[in-house]
Amino acid sequence: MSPPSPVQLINGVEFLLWLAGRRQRLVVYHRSMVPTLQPGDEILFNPRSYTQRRPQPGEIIVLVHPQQPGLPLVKRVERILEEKIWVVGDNGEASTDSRQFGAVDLPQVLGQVTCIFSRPVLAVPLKPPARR
Amino acid sequence: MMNLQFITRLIQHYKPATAAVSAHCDGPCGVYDPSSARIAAEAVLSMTKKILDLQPPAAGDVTARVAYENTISRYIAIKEEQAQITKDELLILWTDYFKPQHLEQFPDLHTTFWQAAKLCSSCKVEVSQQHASDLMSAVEKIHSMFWATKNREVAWYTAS
Repeated sequence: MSPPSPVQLINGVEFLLWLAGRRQRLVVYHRSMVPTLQPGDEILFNPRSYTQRRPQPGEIIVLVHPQQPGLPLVKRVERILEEKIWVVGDNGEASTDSRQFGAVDLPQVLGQVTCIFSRPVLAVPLKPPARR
Repeated sequence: MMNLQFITRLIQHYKPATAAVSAHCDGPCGVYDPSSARIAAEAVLSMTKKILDLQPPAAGDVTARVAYENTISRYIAIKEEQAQITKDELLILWTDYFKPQHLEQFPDLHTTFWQAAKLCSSCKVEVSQQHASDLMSAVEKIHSMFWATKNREVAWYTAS
C-alpha cells in the first residue's frame, strides 16, 4: 500500500489567496491524520473547492461530523459512493471515520485542504476543545 | 529576507487560528469513562425524587407559593440539564469510543445505547422515578460493557 500523499507547505499563491479571504485557516488537533497533518499544524482550506466538482479519492477535506454537527473534521477521501463519500484518517489506528460513522453526505463537506499554513517547530499536542 | 514559512509561523505564534478542526481519534483525544454519564444520571434520579417529594404550599400562602415555585423550577431545570448531559456523554461513548469489534462482543450494543438515549429524553419529558431508575440501570449496563472491552474489572458504584 502506497503512503498517503502529503499536503504541500504554503506557497506565495496560497498566502495571497488567504489574504484575499479565499482560504480559511484552521488549527488541527488530534492525531488521526498523522503523519500528513500533526496536532498543532495550521492548514488552509478552500470552501469553494467543490462548488463545480466533487471531491476525488486521495484529497484531504474538511467536513462536518455526521453525528456531531458542531464538530469539523479533517479526513482523506477514500472513495466516492453515489451522493456520498467514504472518508478515513491517514493514521487508521487512531482515527474515527467512515468505518464508524459510515459514508458522509456531500453537503457535509466544507472544502478541500490546500496547504499547511504553518507547522510549529516543536510539536506541542493540543488539548481538544471542550466537547460541549 | 524572511521566507514565507517563517512569516506564517510568526502569524501562527502571535495570531493563532481561532477555529479548530479535529483529526478525530480516540486514544489521544482524551479519557473515556462512563462515570461522567453515571454522575449525571444520578442527578436526574435525585431531582426526580425531589420533585415527587416536594409538597405544594397551602392555598393562600403567597410567600410559601413563591418559595415552592422557585424550588420546583430549579429542580426541573437541573433534571432537564442533567438528562441532556447524560445523553451527551452516552452519545460520545457510543459514537466515539465503541468500535465495530465491540459490536461483535456485544450484539445488543446499539439497542442498549438507543434505549438509554430514549430514557434520557423520557426523563426530561416526564417526572418518572421508574424511568429515572431505568436510566441508571442502562448506564450500569453500559459501564459493564465499557470496562469489559478494556478487560478490566471496575465495580459499579454510585455517589448517592
